[in-house]
Amino acid sequence: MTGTGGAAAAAAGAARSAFEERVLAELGAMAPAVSEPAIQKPHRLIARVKAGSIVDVSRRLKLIGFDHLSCETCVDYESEIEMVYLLWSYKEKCLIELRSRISGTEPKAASLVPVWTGAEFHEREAYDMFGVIFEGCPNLRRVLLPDEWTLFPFRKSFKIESIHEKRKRAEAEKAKAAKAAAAAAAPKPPAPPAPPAPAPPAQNVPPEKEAGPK
Amino acid sequence: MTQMWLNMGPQHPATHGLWDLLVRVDGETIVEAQTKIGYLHRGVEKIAENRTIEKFLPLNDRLCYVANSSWTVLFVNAVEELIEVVPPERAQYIRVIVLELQRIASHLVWLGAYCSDMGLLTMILWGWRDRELILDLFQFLTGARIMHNFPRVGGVRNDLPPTFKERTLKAMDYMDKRCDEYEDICGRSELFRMRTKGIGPYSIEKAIALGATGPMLRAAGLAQDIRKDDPYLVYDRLDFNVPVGKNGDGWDRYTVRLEEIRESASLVRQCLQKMPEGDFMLPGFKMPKVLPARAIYRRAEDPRGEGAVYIAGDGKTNRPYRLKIRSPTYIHLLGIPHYIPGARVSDVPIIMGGADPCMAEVDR
Repeated sequence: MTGTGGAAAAAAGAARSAFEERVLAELGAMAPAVSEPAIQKPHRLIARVKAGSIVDVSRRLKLIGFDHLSCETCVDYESEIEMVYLLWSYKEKCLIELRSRISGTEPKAASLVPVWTGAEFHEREAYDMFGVIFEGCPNLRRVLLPDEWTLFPFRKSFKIESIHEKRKRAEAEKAKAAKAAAAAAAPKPPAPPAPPAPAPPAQNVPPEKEAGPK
Repeated sequence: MTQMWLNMGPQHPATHGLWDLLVRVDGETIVEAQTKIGYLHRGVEKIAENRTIEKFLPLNDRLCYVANSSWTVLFVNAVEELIEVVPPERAQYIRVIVLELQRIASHLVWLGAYCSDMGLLTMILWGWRDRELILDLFQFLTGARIMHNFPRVGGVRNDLPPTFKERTLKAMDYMDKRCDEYEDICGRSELFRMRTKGIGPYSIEKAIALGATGPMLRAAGLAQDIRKDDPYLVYDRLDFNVPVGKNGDGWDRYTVRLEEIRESASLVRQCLQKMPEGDFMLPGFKMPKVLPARAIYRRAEDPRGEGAVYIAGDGKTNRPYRLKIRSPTYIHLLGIPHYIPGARVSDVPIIMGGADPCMAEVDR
């Protein structure tokens, strides 16, 4: 097995270790909180977890043997944010992926710091980039971005412009400015005919000043 | 005694990059610390969402300026798993050779910088000189010394050049000899022992709780290696040992990494011998126009620890919907404040350097 690609996935049904069976049974017992537990391929499990019970579930999984929090991150689906937790068992050499959905408008999730101290680092990054508030995280501050930053750049609503888009926008703005200037210049020809009769040079200055702010 | 905050960084020679360790000192003893990072943040993960896979590939080399190809190989592995493609066996062997050469180069840079932190300036010259050998091999193989841009989805860019095997075997033999000399100049130096033994120790439990991986975890005494426990590419067909330390202090981090150089040299040798003939790239392979709508988490043993990529496709475009890069050093650096209290100010560079920081990868 090279571990790459479909061949391994096909063999998933055949090779089920006792540990994987035990984890599946344990996940099944946590039924309302955990749904759709499955084996993707050997040593890879996946399950959905209700947002409120992630701390309990991960605490129980840690007791079974998933002692390493490999990663905690999120994926932005605009209306919802999917939290992804990846736990690894050093003893049983098995990875489990937990997914739970939280609201996208007011993202809030329970912190895993009571279970793993190192969860704080992952959570700070998720807060920094997605604005997810982790309740119970002791040090929820910006980590990669400056403290005074107010945006959450990895949200899908935060668009980055390509060079072409930037150039297009600059050109559009330039054209708009030129148009405005032309429009501002256009009323000027009718203006001279109106005050031609008195025509002292001192009076010519104020109308021009008025035309400027327009 | 009054306490005060000290900035160990961002322009401190021991930071090996741009980051800042704020330490609150009581006389000479550290009572509290804070890690300040982000000076090199480029938003690589966001950039990936706006690029096709092929266009993003060269950026992976920029993730770490010391172990470039490690990240590109990891990313390519993840993409291959996502689109369900298995590269030819020869390509997998070539990738392992590149990974292990990269590990040697990375550890040499670390060793040089680590020793120069404690005033052992011979080592920085030796380390960088011997790294040149590896860089020459990379130049021979890929045409570039640092930014190789060598792996491709479905294989690697080119096959091994004609005399690559002989040259590499010669370099690996030389590297083994040099390792003995490093041991003489570092390990037998009373100064080096005094400066590293018992500095910044932590237990296995603490390392696991903080999420430490790779040499940092092995130094604490847990023999885990993703190449062995969760094998990828052809690592399950190769024979190698996982060196471990005992206390997780500066000395153990040094011995683990030095031993890893030897193991890597042996892995390169095995690959060159076992490597089959054949394609180095899947014949007629083309990137699919659409990435499947699922997510893949792929881990690899980076020279610094557990590197991983979480990549999700959306089933509509050929750009990743989300890319998360798990950087091992990011976790290690933020974990420093949890075990540094009690150390002396003069030990801070040893503890900072022991984490082998590579800021491009930490800040992404």
